[in-house]
Amino acid sequence: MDSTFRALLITFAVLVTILTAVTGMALKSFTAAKDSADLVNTSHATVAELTAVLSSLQSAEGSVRSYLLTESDEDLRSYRNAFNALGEHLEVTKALMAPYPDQQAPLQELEAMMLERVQLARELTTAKRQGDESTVEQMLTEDAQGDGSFAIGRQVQRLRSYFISELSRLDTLAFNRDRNARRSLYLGSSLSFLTIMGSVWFIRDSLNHRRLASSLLEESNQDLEAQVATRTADLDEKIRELSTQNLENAWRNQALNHQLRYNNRIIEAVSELVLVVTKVGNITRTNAAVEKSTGFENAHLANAPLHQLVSAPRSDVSADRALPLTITNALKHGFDLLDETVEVTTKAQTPLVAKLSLFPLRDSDQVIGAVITLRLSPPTSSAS
Amino acid sequence: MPSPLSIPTSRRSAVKIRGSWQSFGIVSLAVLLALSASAVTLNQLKTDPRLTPKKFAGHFEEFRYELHHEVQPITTFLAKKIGDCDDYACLADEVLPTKGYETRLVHVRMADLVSHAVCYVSEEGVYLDYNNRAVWRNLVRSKPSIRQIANKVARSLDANWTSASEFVYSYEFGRKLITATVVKTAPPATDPPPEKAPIPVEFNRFYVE
Repeated sequence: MDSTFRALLITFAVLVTILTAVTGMALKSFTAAKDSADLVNTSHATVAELTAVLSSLQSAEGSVRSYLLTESDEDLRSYRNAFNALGEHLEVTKALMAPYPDQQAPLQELEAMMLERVQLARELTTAKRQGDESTVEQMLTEDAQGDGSFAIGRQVQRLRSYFISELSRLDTLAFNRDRNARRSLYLGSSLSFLTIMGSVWFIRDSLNHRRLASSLLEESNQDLEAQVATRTADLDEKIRELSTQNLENAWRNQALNHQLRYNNRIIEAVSELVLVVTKVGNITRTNAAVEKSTGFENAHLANAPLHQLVSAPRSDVSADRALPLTITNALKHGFDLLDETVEVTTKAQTPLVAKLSLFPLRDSDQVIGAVITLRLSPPTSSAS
Repeated sequence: MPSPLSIPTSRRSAVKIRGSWQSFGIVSLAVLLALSASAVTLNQLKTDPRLTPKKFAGHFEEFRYELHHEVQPITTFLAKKIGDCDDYACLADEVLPTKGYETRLVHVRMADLVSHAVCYVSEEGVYLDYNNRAVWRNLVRSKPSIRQIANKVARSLDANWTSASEFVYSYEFGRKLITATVVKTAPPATDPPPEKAPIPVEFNRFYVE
């Protein structure tokens, strides 16, 4: 896998992890903050309901006392409504305080005190309706001397204090949670930033390396292209030279062929008999004069031994034995023979006298054969 | 020769007919206006055989809002066309059961110590809200639990709620009695069942003759 791609992949994975963690923490924090806000609202509502309980009781008792004095329907309706509101507020308070088990006992105590006050109101209104003023007066006097209302006030205050301290606790909790959430967000943001910066640095380094490698590759390509161009030019030059050389060779071969043909013509035109023999004395080639003078065709003479065509004169017995040895030695050691008198056999069986000359053919100082010329002697005078 | 300004006999009857239709229309419009201007009565509501929660809510489109610490008598509320959520919800709770509906009064207390009352109609799965009396969708769909109703009411007021109570109200005694209460921070598992709460046995503990 490419290192840059791997770095990007790792960066992406790290960022996703950080963002997921930060998002999770933020969501958790938001949920906790919302729950905390709900608890704060509940505590405030509880304090408000406790206050309403006390004020409803005070309002109800005030209205009862007014009713005892006036017996008016307005006061009667007023205390009924107030006691009704008292019961309503107390029910709500009980529901709000249900999640606080350690406050249930003081609350029940408060409820009992409230019910005592309700009972007192009932007894007062009943006595009043019965016209028993002395009982009313006695009950009011006893109540004034007692601690009932004040005890309720203190109890309510005690419960309110608890919830005010609960508010303080919730506030501290919310503050700490908020601080932790903020720290988590800062930490997550910093880590993300650092990861991105690290990734950018790494990618930048990698890109620089790539750029350098690319420029080196480009230079190398340019060198290679230059070398290829030079080689191509050299090859073109060589091709041109070879073409010229081929042309020259063709011309040379053509000239050589011409020369060979002229030479052959010259040899064919020579009146003397010309033979080419191998080192062992076999005829390989002859000119036209040989066929003309002897009557043998060139094909007949090809590879024939020389002594079939050339022999010592019949008149000279010593020469008959010496000639073959002389020719053999000349071929062996490579020396020339000049004007040796010989007899040339013809197809018509009429021997011809001729002067034989032998010139050895060499190849790298080795005798490979010889050229033999036979110059025919003119016919003798006796014949005439 | 007829006067150029006179109307031909054949057209006279047409004008007469058109005139009578115009008169009828004007009279009808006046009657309708008079009827619409007159306040609906409790008797009209209770004797309407086709009264539905939606039709009930339609009678209160022109009512104005005015906060009262106590629930107004029905006649006062209907005659003055002025009231608050308690008046509307308690009246619905008084009228709709006579049409066979089961109603539940729910009182939602907000975090800003303002409270709001609605009347939930179990059969329709909706509640009547005085704030929605003048809009086309004057009924709000909700699930039956007090918590769900409170959530919806609080959301409609862009507020956060703290507690909600189901209650009954007696016009005869002018008494409101809480039958069940749900606190938002309490676990939902402790909520009362999503049905009309029974009246507590000791409902007269704070009643003074």
